[in-house]
Amino acid sequence: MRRKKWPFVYVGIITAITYIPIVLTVIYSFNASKISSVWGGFSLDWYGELLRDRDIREALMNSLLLAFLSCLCASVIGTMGAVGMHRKKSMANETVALFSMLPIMIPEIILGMVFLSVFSLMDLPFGMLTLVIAHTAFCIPYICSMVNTRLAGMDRSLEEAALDLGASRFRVFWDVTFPAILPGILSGAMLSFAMSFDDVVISIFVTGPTVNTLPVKIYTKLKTGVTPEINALATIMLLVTILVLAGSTLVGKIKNSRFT
Amino acid sequence: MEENTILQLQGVRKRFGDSEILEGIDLKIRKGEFITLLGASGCGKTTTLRIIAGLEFPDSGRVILEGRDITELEPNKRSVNTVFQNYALFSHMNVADNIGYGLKIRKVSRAVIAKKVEEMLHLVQLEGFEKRMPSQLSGGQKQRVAIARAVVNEPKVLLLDEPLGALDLKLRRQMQLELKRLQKRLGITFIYITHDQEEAINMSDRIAVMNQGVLEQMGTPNEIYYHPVTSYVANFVGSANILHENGSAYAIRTENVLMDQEPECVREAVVVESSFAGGQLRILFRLRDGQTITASRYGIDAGTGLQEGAGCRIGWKPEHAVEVVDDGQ
Amino acid sequence: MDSRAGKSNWLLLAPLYLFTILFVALPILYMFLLSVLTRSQVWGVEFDFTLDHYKRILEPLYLNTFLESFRLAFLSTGLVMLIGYPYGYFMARMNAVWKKRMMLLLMIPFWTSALIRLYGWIIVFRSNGVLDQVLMGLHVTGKPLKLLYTYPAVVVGMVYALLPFMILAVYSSAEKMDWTLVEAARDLGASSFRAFLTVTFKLTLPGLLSGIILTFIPSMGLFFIADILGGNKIVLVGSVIQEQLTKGRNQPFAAALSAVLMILTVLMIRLYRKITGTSRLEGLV
Repeated sequence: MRRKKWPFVYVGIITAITYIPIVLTVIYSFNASKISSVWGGFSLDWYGELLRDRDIREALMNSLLLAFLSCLCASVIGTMGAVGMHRKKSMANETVALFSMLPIMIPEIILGMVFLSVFSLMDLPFGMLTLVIAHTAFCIPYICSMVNTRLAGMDRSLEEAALDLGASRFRVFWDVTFPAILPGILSGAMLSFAMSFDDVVISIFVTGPTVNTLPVKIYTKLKTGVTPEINALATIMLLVTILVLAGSTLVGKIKNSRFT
Repeated sequence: MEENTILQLQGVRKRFGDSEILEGIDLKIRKGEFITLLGASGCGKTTTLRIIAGLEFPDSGRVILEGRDITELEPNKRSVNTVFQNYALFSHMNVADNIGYGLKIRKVSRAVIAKKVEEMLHLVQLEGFEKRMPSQLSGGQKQRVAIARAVVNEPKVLLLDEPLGALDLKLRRQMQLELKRLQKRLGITFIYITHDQEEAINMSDRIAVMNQGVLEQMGTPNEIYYHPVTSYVANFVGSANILHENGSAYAIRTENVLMDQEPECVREAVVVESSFAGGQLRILFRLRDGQTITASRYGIDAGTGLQEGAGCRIGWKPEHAVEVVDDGQ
Repeated sequence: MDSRAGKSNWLLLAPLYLFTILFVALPILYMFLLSVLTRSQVWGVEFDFTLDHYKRILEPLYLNTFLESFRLAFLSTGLVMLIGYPYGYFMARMNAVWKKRMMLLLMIPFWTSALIRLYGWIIVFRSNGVLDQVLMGLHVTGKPLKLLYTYPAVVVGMVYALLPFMILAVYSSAEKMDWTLVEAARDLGASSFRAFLTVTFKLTLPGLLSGIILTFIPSMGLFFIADILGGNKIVLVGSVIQEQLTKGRNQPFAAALSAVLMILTVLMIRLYRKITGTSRLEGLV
């Protein structure tokens, strides 16, 4: 078929528009003026301000810890579950699988509402524990889906071959199944980490009075008034995102050369 | 049980859902034999193999290895190994690790593993390939690694599930010879699965022809070819005409159908059509009673002078008409 | 594997079963239960059955909120569809190198905090902000438009936040498509437009529908977008739920609102299932 130019133009324009707010945020993070509509010359003041802000630092550490813990819990629970369900299909499994997917299919607000009332019913102390439980709930679907995709693509005879060669079912898992689904676990974990790190809606409901996550902190700041500090914070987070993405592409390249 | 029987299946039945895959298979395999399970896809040959390997369990019936009932034994506890259809090499392990996997599981020392792997690589002519990853191997090389990985464990029986299916014709022929040579050298019992009758005839000591979950006939390639018991076997191995006469069915191989001058040619026939395919001329005749007979000859000029619609006399030697059970296929 | 793998399987399944039942299934059931209970004076509930909360949703104030949420969700989803479908489709038609590049370009904003991306729009929309300055500079308008805290700003924010979901959904189904089918249709005499309508569009429909669900459902709950870009002027169901929980301290009513939203969601997913025959949402993860 003929190659046309205008699809590229269209995709290019839309992509450019999606980058407008991001680029502006980066530019204004170096703005010396406190009023964001006026350009007051280049400055790194906001970055300094950011580094001195203890609240932000604390929120950042909380968010990292939360993302790490929920990502870990979800990876373990999700991977084990996906492998178990792959081995044996049953009605009960299908039902549980469907329910486990719900947290990313229903609006976040419902999940937040549900967790808030259930946690208060259970009398759990609101804070890191409740945050981790809630975040694990919406991270499990990402892990399960990614692992399922790998499992579906995996040649079943590989497991059978290991079994045939004398490996116990446990050995079969570690020697064959696990290496085959590892890329799925990793990409699921990365997605989970990002989703957890980014979550506002659910966190607002289940966080305690003493624990702030970064998105919740930013949300409160945005609601109460704009500070150019946020520009600097956004730029740093953007940089981290790009680095993580670049890193994962690199890891993916190494993985691919080893696993295919 | 006979002294030299190594593996025996007794009345093995298996169904998946509503469909009966195996309708009672009885099979006796001797030590050191090269046995081929031959049949079209879906005939149950792979299921039979998987039951022997322990990857499936029969609904009823027994699997006996060297006099011991192993029907309920897990696959990792059987001294039977399998070469899988798609090789099933572990893509994240190199060639040496693949071959040494079974030994490693049995906690054989590293030095011994290394030595055995080297021996195996020599046996399958892949010296120097230890560190290669499966993705860097050709189809034929993967095949050899898969065989080495199974053989290194010195199984009592080696199961091969259409191992040459994915290879091209030339490589296939070469590997057939190699496999046969390897089997003779190792003295291991091979149970080989194929749907290719030519392959079965070339390699096997005995062939078991399967059809829709039933073992139709078991015998040497010679017996199978020249003395088929059922019309299915006659048709599946080589090509044969099934002729009905006086309430009996007879199988006559197409190459045994004679034309014109021979003294046996006592039947009036009309040429319906003739076609040339695969180095063979095939001529379709219609007999007076309406039954059709196909004759085959090598060479394109073998049937010169046979015009469509022309009358002709055909026949066959009495010993070439083998009485068979017509199972309607 | 085989029938005997089940012996040790329950060990693998136990954590997922436990977690899902305890923290997903039961809580959702509890929500439905909560929605028919009576609110107690302080915080918490009394176990008296009542349908008052559902009746209350039918009051004009809340009914309007639902309608308003639907209107915004429809508008945003429509725009997302119009912009995202061609994008995903074109992306699927690019060669492998460009596909990878575009995917990366698409993923960077997607992986950046939604809040931070919204913040960028504040800079654009605020009074005397970037957009105003550009428009005034071009003499399109004489005075600042004051777009921030207006309905269009919220729509832009919604579209912006949800666009990647649509693009990925359409892309993943267009990517799997067998393009020789289009060539076959052309070969059989279809114009390129007809070929698109009868082949491409039909085959990418699961992606499009999935994209619609993935944008429509969240758009009803993303109260923080309406909050930040709309000020307090635009009230969505999500905002009401949040308000009832935090300020109103009325759990049962919040539960009833959530229940209605949940039922609508399930109905949409079932409709999707009926049309496409699968419950797997295209491009979800």
